[in-house]
Amino acid sequence: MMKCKKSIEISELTITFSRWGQTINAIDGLSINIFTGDWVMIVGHNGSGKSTLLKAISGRIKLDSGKLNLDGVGIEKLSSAQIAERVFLVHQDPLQGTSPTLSVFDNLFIADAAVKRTALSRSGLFDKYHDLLKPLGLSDRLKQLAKYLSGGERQLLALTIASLRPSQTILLDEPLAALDPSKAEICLSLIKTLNKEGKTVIQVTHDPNLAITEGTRTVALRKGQVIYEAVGSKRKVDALRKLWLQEIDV
Amino acid sequence: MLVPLDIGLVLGLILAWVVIALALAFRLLDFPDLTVEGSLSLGAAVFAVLIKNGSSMPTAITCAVLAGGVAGALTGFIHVRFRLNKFLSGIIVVAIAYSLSLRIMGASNIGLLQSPNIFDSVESLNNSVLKQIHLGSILLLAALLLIGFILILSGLSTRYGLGLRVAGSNPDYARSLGINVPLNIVFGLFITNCLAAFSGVLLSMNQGFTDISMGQGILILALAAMTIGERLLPEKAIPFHIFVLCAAIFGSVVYQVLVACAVHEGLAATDLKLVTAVLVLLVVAFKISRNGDFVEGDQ
Amino acid sequence: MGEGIRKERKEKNMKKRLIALFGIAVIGVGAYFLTQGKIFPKGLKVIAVATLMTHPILDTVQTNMIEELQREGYVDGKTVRIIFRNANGQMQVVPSIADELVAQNPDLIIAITTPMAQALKKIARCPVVFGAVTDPVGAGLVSSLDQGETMITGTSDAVPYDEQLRLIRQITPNAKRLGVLFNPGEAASQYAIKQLRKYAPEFGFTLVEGSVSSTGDVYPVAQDLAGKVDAILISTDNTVAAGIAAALKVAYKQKIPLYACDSGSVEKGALAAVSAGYPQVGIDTGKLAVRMLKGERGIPTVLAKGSEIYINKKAAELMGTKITDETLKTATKVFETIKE
Repeated sequence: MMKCKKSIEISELTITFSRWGQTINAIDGLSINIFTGDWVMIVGHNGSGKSTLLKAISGRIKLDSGKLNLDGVGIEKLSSAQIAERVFLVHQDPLQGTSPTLSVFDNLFIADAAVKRTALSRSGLFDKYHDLLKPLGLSDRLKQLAKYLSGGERQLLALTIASLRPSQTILLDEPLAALDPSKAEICLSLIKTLNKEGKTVIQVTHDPNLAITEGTRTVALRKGQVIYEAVGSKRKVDALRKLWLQEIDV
Repeated sequence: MLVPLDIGLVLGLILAWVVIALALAFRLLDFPDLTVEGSLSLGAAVFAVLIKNGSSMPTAITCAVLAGGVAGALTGFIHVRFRLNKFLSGIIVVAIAYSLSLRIMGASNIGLLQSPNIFDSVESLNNSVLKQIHLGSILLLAALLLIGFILILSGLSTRYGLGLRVAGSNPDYARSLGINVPLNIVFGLFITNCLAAFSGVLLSMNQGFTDISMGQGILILALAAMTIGERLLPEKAIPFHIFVLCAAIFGSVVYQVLVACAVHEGLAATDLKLVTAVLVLLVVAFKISRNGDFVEGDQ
Repeated sequence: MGEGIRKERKEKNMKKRLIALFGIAVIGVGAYFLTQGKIFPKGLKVIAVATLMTHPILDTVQTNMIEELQREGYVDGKTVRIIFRNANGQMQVVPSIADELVAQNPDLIIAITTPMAQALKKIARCPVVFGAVTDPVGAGLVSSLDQGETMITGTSDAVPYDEQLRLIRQITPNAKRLGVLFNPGEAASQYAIKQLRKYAPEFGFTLVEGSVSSTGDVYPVAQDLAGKVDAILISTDNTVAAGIAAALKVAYKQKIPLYACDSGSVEKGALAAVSAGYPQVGIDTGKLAVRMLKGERGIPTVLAKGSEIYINKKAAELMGTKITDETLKTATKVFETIKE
């Protein structure tokens, strides 16, 4: 049962970059609405604007024209802290998305929005995080510095951090890209859980199969525009694959 | 041999505060903070004037330390508000602090021999045991450092302290966690420059006078001490922020002892600046080749 | 990262603000300098006085010089306008202070200390009187001490180092190793150390040199010296003079006699000195200034007259040194207390 509440509204969004004297439209008149509880899969080739779109939604890039509303408020009107309350981005590179010099415990500690409200003692928090990390196989690493985790383990940590954030929407930039199959599976199930708990998930992937089989909606981008959008069971792998191959030929 | 050890220990423990100030800013806040030269002499200036005019010791020290902190906060403010380069922000504030210190002192030099002094309380210890060793001073300074060490460490482990560290090492990520990065930078520099000012206060009391040129050369000195400490202590074995603190204190003491020994053997103090600069260069070059991978806040 | 456009716009705004700030600063500084000129009532002669830094010797010279000027009728604000500049020990600002003063078009410049005199002589368009320069010939200010020059004259405070060593020998007959604290970067100290090296063997002293490069070095180097010598001597060195408190601290603690070469330092707690009478040096400087203002030229350098002995009894007590009544009788002035 989906609440038909628009948590992110984008209309006619344009973002341009100047690179080596050329101006490129990274996002070109893109319009899309994302509803609370959605799990949107965004696919596209490199340069299609997927990462740029995530950066725009998380407030890291300014818009050149168009509208981007979070919970009905234009993003230009929101401060960094206010954006952080609504949206959380999990980076493609786990080095960026965690604090390597802090311990795993401390990483979770500063991300945990519930700390202020529940006033758990330090040992209580320790238990909480221990349980959280157990299914990921990381519960014995709480005291270790984050920099000693492998890339895949760090990505799982980043996801756990995301689950602790108060933000309604979680943005994932190719979260499974650097993971081996077993970790990728754990990661995917974690994302599923997050979505089940009510979080809106926007996931960028370069795998068209995954984009169809998982999530509630699939959106394909090319050159900053939406070229394919389908919901639920209406999504067909063949249609998407055709577009995919089209792009390669072109 | 005892004399240079004594001189080095006392000076090393006094200057450890300013080395900590630089190290924390450099390594945890990713801010090469030149302000320390200015906040050290500003703190010394405020302290000298207040104590000479009859203020109590705690008042004079507190005001001096706060003055230094304000200088640091100003550097942070200039950087985050006006987007001025970190180095330039520090340089500007040092210039401001210099003029301010001169105005406050009313002269370029204030004698403090007849003024109250925390080292007076340990005078008896200083004259016991061995005449050449200021045992009392050393113990007092070590005790002060220990208290400071514990306070700083516990501060850095709180939620706010952790936020500070993340704001420094990864501002983008910090922002996504809802941490107010500019505020953290300004506050962080406030604290570190309070420490630098404290060094200025201790230095004034120890040498018996305050001079406007006290801050000059402190940056190179602190860098040298910091580099020596980081090179000699095992980085992998301890959490990074503890490592930074220990390296600062250790490096400061080792550096001053080395200097005192060199002077004792006849090296002219005037040649010292060259030797220090070369030493820093060597250690830095060595460190990069030895530890080329990710080190927090590496310049 | 991709923050390009947002950053660009912000930076443009900040650049505007910086330019505004800079403009205000320029106007402010300009206004300051302009008003400096405007304050002069018309017709008054302008005397520019520049010194390197603050410390007892220089203060004595300057104070006495001003008093002498007043005695001769040159009173600041009434019959003449005097501008003061102090480099506060910063060698780097000496040239810019010199520039600024010359730009104000004074009728006479009085430059105290060697570096200040050198900088001002180079660019001055008006007569220059130097004060308390230890070695005017060596500093390139005059070609010889007896011959006068057109645009420059002054007073020399050359210390009679042989007399100094004689006094030290007299008060502490058993001292063999004499430590010297000085900054080799100062011209006066270069001169002093050469003289000391020359005379030391004559009086049975072995010199141990303790060089400092800044005031912060004074304390540790003094401490180090104290362990190696029987007595310490500080000459008319600006850096050491600024840090004299630290040197005295060491002397009192280790009970080592500390001698100086000027009366001001003895007043502040040094044991004894054979000094050029610095008050007289100040007065002589003032007299020269008056003569130059009246139009006289070609005045030879005035050397400090006589060697006066200054002793501080309290200091002797603190240093654990006994001074005989005979010695006290030879003193020009005996200080009973230590001035802070």
